[in-house]
Amino acid sequence: MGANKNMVRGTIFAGIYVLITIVIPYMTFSWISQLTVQEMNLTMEKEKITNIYFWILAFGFLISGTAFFAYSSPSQSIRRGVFCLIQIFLNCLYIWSYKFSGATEIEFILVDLGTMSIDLSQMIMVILGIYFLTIILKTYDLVDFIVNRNKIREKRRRGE
Amino acid sequence: MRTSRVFRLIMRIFLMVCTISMSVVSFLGAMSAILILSNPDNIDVNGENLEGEFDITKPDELNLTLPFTIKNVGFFDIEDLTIRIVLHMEYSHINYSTPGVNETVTETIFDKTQSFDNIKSGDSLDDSFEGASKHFISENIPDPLNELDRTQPVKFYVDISLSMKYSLGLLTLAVNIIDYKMQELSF
Repeated sequence: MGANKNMVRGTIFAGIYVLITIVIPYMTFSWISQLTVQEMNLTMEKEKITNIYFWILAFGFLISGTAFFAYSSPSQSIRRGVFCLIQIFLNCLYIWSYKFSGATEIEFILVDLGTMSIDLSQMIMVILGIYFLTIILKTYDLVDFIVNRNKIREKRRRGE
Repeated sequence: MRTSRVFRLIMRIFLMVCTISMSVVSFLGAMSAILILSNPDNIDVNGENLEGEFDITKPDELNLTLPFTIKNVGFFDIEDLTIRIVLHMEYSHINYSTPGVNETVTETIFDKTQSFDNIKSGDSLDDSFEGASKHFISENIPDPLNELDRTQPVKFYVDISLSMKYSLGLLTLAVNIIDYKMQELSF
């Protein structure tokens, strides 16, 4: 019964991560690539938007996959600690992918007029800073799960 | 409660506060951008409003003014607002080595960046970009008597770059109007 519960939890979390890392960013970039500002159509370079979509999908699926394994693992298990840590590293790469795919420096072409650009690099750096703290926490979790392995198993056996 | 649990709890609360703050700042920043950009009256920096004296035969009287209005209807202050104007002049250069064959030359005759005050949320800024004769690049301005083919009109093009920081400096927005055709003059 516990295993089924874990699988359901893993699936739910994988679904949440698909929504957060793939669906919402994909819809956001689709929307801003066809934005109309001040009665002017803003167009993004097709090659750039394809590149952004590729990295969103690639890292999005990886993160969602690891989210399934992390959240379907028993609570306080080493397996969960390892997958949570892998997931955080993948999240960092996902955030960083926004930078190297050009998604942080979005440039629109104002037809017959010029360009408009939005630079989100600074925001990405702050988010990466928060992820760095999360890495510390997850590493600490993993060490704790390994060091207190016997205590955690004993508690689990007692049903606490 | 184990010390490790207390440490984890404190870290989790701290991370949650950071994540929620960033999410709120990002959301409000995006909302503000939509609010500001959706109404053309909010950022009124238009090449059509550019005025000035471009008669190169009177170098001391050269000047350039661009009045503009920016309304900050967003949730955060607009910071580090700068406007850069570059003025190009296209003219027919007299070619003395091959009489009768003149060449079209484009020179940058004006280049200035001006910073403006921060615009608080809800406020608007009515100001103007000012360029005096000292900001014109005199060495690029042709001698009207010896270098300029005065039978051909002189064309002026302007590049206007506007940049500002938003969402507590986390977001930089830049608008570049390139080669906006201004006016033609004959000397």
